[in-house]
Amino acid sequence: MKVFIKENLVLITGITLPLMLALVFYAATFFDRVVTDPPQYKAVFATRHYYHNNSKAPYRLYVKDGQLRYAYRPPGEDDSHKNWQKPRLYVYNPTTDNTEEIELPTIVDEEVKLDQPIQKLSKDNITTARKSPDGYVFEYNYRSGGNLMTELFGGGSRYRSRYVLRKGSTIVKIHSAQRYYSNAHFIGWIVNEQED
Amino acid sequence: MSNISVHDKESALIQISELAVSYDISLDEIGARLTQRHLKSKNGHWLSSLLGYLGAAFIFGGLSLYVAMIWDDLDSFSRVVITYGPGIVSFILGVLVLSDARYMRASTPLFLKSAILLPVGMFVFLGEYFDGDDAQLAAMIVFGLLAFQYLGAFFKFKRTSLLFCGYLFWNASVGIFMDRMGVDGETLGIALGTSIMMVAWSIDKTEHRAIAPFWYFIGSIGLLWSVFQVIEGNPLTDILYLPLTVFLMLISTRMHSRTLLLTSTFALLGFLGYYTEEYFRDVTGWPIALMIMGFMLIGVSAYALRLNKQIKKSNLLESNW
Repeated sequence: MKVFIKENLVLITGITLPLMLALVFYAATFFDRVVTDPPQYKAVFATRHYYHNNSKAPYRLYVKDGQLRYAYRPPGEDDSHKNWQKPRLYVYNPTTDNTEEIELPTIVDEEVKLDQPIQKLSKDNITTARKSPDGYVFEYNYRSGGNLMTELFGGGSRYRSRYVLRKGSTIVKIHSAQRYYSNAHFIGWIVNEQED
Repeated sequence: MSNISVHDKESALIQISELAVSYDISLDEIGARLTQRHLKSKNGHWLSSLLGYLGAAFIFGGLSLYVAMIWDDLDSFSRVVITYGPGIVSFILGVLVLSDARYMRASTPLFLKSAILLPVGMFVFLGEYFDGDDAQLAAMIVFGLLAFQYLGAFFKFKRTSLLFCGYLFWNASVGIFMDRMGVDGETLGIALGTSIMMVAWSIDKTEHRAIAPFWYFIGSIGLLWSVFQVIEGNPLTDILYLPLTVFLMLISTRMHSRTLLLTSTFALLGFLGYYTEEYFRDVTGWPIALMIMGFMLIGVSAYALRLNKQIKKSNLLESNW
């Protein structure tokens, strides 16, 4: 065995080097998780929510008195040519690591205004504070360092950036939100959830 | 020169190396002569080979197109069978032809074809029967399983094509594993690039050395690219790139790898361009200093070549003893 290791030291080092490094990084992440409490509060976010950077967008999701509401107004004449899409609403549950899509009401008559609470979340109390009561923030985690190796063997750049819940150096990846790239918009935290 | 009777491959190699040392024949010259003979003996067959390859490509392309056209009409099981099936059949055929010397050469295209179809089939299987949306995890599992399949077959049959595919899948799986463990891009690139170069060095010493230049190329580019990402724009550390490239050039002579020499030389030239642009854009003395340095490098390279030749000679003599 000793002779084998001596003769193939370069090969063995070459094969084990990336694995050892991965384990070191995993240990560091594991240590972070041990010393930090996991997130408790559900995060509400939406995609295709153009209103937050364009007030002319006809669809809007907003929180009023702790309640999430869905509003629609017919687009103005100048904006009617735009192909506005209905937002998609999601709730991420960190305790089950699951993202659930909440179906938004269909607009029956596009000329009629609408403003109503989201039924499924109507009993919950939502806060729009950037930081959850347990100290986590919802953010886009852009991981730089994409290069030939990450593109060829690291799963590609798509996986180098994703939405996460972050508290200090502790990061909880929102796996289900990978597909939404950079267009997810944080709405709030469910701080007082009521069971149906 | 000793008179060794040639009775086996080993003694033939000893005699060839002795003759090479005595008459100062380089490896390239031997390689060129063998290639010429090989080409001469194959002169009449090139057209049939070309047509054969073209025919295979058309059949493969036609089948792929047909599958794409009927894809929506297929159920899940049929989709898996139509993608994974030909892959596993190619792999099994590749193994079977190894037992018959007449068809042994067909094993390489069969293994390569299976290396394309098997992952596709496995991804289709996961896509059809599992609900998860973590494609990266799926890729890590698929490539990991394939790495074990191909490397396992390599240890049994010792075919270079199996080693190539197996190591390709291994790196794909390990790279994703590192990414999932939270290793940042630059560190991943440096570690994986170094790892690949070390493995390539080991492969280079075996009969499978034909694939070593490819891995030297991938490993060195990955390493140099990643290191440059780390040091770029940092006035305290970016000069360290210079000794790294020079070190790799030295290593390339030790490894006898022209591929590594090429990538490290281009990296050095690129770095000099970067450094000039960054700090000496308007300084007239810098181009002159570079030219002087260039002449010095040429002098050093000539000396290194001479040393390299001496080392090669002494290595050959040592191996004969």
